[in-house]
Amino acid sequence: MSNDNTDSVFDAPAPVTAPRTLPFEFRGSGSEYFRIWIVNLLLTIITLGIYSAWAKVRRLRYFHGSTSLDGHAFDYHAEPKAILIGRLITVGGYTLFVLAGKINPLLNLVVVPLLLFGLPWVIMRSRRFHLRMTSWRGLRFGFHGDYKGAFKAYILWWLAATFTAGILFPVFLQRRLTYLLGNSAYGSQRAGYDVAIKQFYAFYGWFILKALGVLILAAVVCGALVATTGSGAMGSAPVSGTLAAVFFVAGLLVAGIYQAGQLNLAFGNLTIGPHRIESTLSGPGLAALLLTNALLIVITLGLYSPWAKVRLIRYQLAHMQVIATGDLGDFTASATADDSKALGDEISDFFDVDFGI
Amino acid sequence: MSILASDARVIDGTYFDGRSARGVAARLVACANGRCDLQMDDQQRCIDMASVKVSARIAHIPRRIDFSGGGHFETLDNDGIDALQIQHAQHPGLVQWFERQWKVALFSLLSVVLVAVLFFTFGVPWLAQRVADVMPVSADAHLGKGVLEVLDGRLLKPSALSAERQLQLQQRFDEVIRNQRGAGNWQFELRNAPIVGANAFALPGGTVVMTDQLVALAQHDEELMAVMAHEVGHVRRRHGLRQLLQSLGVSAMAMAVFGDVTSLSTFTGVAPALLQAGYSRDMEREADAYSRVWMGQHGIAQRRFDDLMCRLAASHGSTSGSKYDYFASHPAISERARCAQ
Repeated sequence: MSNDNTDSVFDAPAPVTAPRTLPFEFRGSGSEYFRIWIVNLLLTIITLGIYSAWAKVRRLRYFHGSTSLDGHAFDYHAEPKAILIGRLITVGGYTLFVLAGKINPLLNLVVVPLLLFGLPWVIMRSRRFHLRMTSWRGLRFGFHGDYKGAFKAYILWWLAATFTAGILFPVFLQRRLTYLLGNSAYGSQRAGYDVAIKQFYAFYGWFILKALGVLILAAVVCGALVATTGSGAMGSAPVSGTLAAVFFVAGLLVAGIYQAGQLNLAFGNLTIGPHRIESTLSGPGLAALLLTNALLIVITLGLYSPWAKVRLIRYQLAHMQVIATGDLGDFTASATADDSKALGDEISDFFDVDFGI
Repeated sequence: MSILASDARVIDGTYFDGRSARGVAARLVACANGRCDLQMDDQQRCIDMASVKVSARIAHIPRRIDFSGGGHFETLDNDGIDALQIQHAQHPGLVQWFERQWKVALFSLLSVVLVAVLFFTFGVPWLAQRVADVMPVSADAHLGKGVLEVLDGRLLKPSALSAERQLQLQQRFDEVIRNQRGAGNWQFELRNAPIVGANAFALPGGTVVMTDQLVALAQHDEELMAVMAHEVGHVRRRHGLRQLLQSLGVSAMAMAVFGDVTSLSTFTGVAPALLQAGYSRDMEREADAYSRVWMGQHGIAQRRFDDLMCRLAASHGSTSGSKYDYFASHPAISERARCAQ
């Protein structure tokens, strides 16, 4: 296979600076990823978990390498050995902590300060490692956020939001996204993320209205169901099962609306130099995908998981595009030194840390 | 020489210098003596294949060759790179080949399922037992601490039995724990539990709680002693601590298997819960066996246990062999006791 299409792009740099719309293309497939997943899982089990670090690198290289923009794929460069060291420290530390905490409950009191002061560090290190290890067209991404910024955005603003009964919650989310996205970089080019707080208030206002609408609709459907079957049937398995299903679907719809809106708000306002990203995910579309994924995963006892993951990523990327103004080849490398310590990234992996995007 | 020339493959791709995002169309041509030619529009570089780093092949994704002086060559021609590596006595690797074979994937799937079943059935309980063995007995007491206080506020009320009857039952309990090693932390508690009903449970460390409702259901004190022995069995076998250790093992395994591919925590949460029910059934069996051995040693007829169990089952309205057995935390009554029809 040759890549003639890319040749033409680079041979003749376009003199015009009219914006071009460049989609993210995803060439991965569930059947391909299933084989990668299951083979690496067996290798991980045989090696008592040691291979999981290599498996992680292969998984991320597969997803990065399957995603391309303007004819070129992304790549992932982490060293499995660095990831293994990070994993061993995380798992060992966690196990010791849990066992010690069960024997001496006083130790559990340390959790709160550990979370308050440790979480910003984990988030900062994780973003730095992940972006540094990601590349496109030979240039690495980067992250310039510092500990102070993470502590302010994730802890102080979160406390402020909590103590004002949620009134400052949209501000907290704006700070969080500004920290995460505004500190990102591609090569020597810093990303820009400049969204007014009122846009966040508008988003949350609409979200709360939509969520209430969905829940009221679910309640009406349930009411009608009980009315038609008679109130005596409330306790019967088919009726209570249907009621649970209605609320499960309603919950997923709310989750879909939230996640889609949040992603649009995050990536849809991101700029990198003269280029910007557009994100147009739809809440109900995402909810339908989450619902079918969940059903198929349960029906297949988990076997569908690789297909589900591929479907989700393909859907998200299909609704994102880059509006490029000028030549994408103009980016240059940054002089930042390689940061290869994976501990923070592994801690965030292990505890499934929610960055807020 | 002619053989080499006909073998020489041309690999089309893009060259990036690593200093800018600008790519240059390039082609890699194999030549003799472990070297390759990297040909670009206006220049040609001779590459020593021993000095470059070729990325591992994964499915269809682009392959990259990193040059020692910076810069890299990127191509979709995976087969071409494989051929080049073989020509230079480098192996493309086995894992990438495994990952592309459906036969290997199927074999892996069956192996993973087999290992998981063996691990959950034998491995987790065995490991939990071994870890519990090296943990101090004081760990059990810490687990049980505070549990009764929490229950007392909500589900349990002070016993309504007469002081005389309570003293009698305390003496029965003292009989059961006589000669039990690890004595000292044993404690017997009676509670009125209208919501819970007839029941008894043990807290790790040695507190045995029995409800007034169970006392009322019994027709002979030996029946209650059989239940006390069952609860003592839970404590002696350190079921509370083992349950905790097992749940840690199950969550770790579930996270290892599905953590990478799904964020559906519901799924990874439900499977451990079902497995927990299975482990808890095993522990009930162990406690039943403990009680029956104790009864045998102390001259109490085995039917005392059966009688109370059957009455308990009848009062809870559960029929033997219910279809939900697999999900229940206790074994079916038909398995635990012989009931008169």
